[in-house]
Amino acid sequence: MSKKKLIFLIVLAADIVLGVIFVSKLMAASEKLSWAYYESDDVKTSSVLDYLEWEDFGTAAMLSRSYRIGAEVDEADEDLFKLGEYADMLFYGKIYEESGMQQRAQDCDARRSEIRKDMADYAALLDKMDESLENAIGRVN
Amino acid sequence: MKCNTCGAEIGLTDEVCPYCGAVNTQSAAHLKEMEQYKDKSKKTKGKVKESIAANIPILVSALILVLLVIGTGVSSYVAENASLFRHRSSRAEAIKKHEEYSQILRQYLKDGDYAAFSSFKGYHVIPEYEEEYKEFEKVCDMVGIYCRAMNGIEECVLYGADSPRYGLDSDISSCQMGIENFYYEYERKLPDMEGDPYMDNAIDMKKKMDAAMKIYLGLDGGELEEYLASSSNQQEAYLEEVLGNE
Repeated sequence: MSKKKLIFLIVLAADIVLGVIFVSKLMAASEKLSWAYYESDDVKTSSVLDYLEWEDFGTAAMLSRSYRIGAEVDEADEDLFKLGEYADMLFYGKIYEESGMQQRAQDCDARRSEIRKDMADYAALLDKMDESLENAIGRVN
Repeated sequence: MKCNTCGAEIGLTDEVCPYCGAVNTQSAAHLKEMEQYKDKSKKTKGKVKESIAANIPILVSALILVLLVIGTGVSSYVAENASLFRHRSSRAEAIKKHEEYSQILRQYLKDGDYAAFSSFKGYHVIPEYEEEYKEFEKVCDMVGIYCRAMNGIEECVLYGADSPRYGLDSDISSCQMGIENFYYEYERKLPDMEGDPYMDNAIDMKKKMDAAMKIYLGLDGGELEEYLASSSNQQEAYLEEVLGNE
């Protein structure tokens, strides 16, 4: 094999390897640039789902808060974020009530009723959330 | 034929003009020599062309290699710094839309919904230190401290009967730190907020924190004071007792 041919083959092999690396890097860059807030590690759907499955409603509530302020979420996963919102409304509703903000407490109750109505399939889980609040209050009284 | 230099009549075979001595470029010998040079030059050009043609694949591959190295470098840089680019672009947008966003933030403060205020601020990367949002600078600081404490409590108290309660110890520990930090910073920062348009919100945050301490941790009035006066370890021990596994 001539020297030139050998050099050509080496450069060609390097081109192929680097080409694969380049394409993967390009895809990673494009994916990261088109990232959506709800896909970040701390608020992604799978995280909310995990916490709901573990009945860790407080954490699910926190992770769903961005949805409450109008953050873009995947339409198919909206229900999960609503469940988290329900838990958040439970927690803060009680605080508003205790601190004398009756109107805000009623707003939270109204939002909870709305979510309950929209998500009849999740009634059992919502009942568990209600129960968790009762337990939290009962634990210290 | 005539000499090109002096114009004198010279012979076809004369290599130089016998009158002025100039080279006769039209002489047979000269023309023959020229033909030989041309032929040689043609051959050399052919060899050069052949050599270039033989090296074109290597040159093209090398050029592609250089372009791929540059492309990979640029892509890696963009991927590494994507969050920074997004952050900067969101912040620039927040500054551009400051009137609209400020209105929303004011409404959250009016409603006493500090959790939403904090989420909105974080989601839109609102730079409270910039002139456009300066009015919120102090209250943002307080909201951050308040939310850390409230999140800690919320995380620890709302769980189902079948929850495996992963990371309970660290949750209790961060809850204790959040609460301790809130009351400490509240006392420290409130005097600085004198004259701030949102000083009442700081007072309201304290009111809500007191309410949360009462409802969820069973600490009210003297008990709360006693709790806050105790050491961090004692506070954590109390929270473990109240919030630990039953």
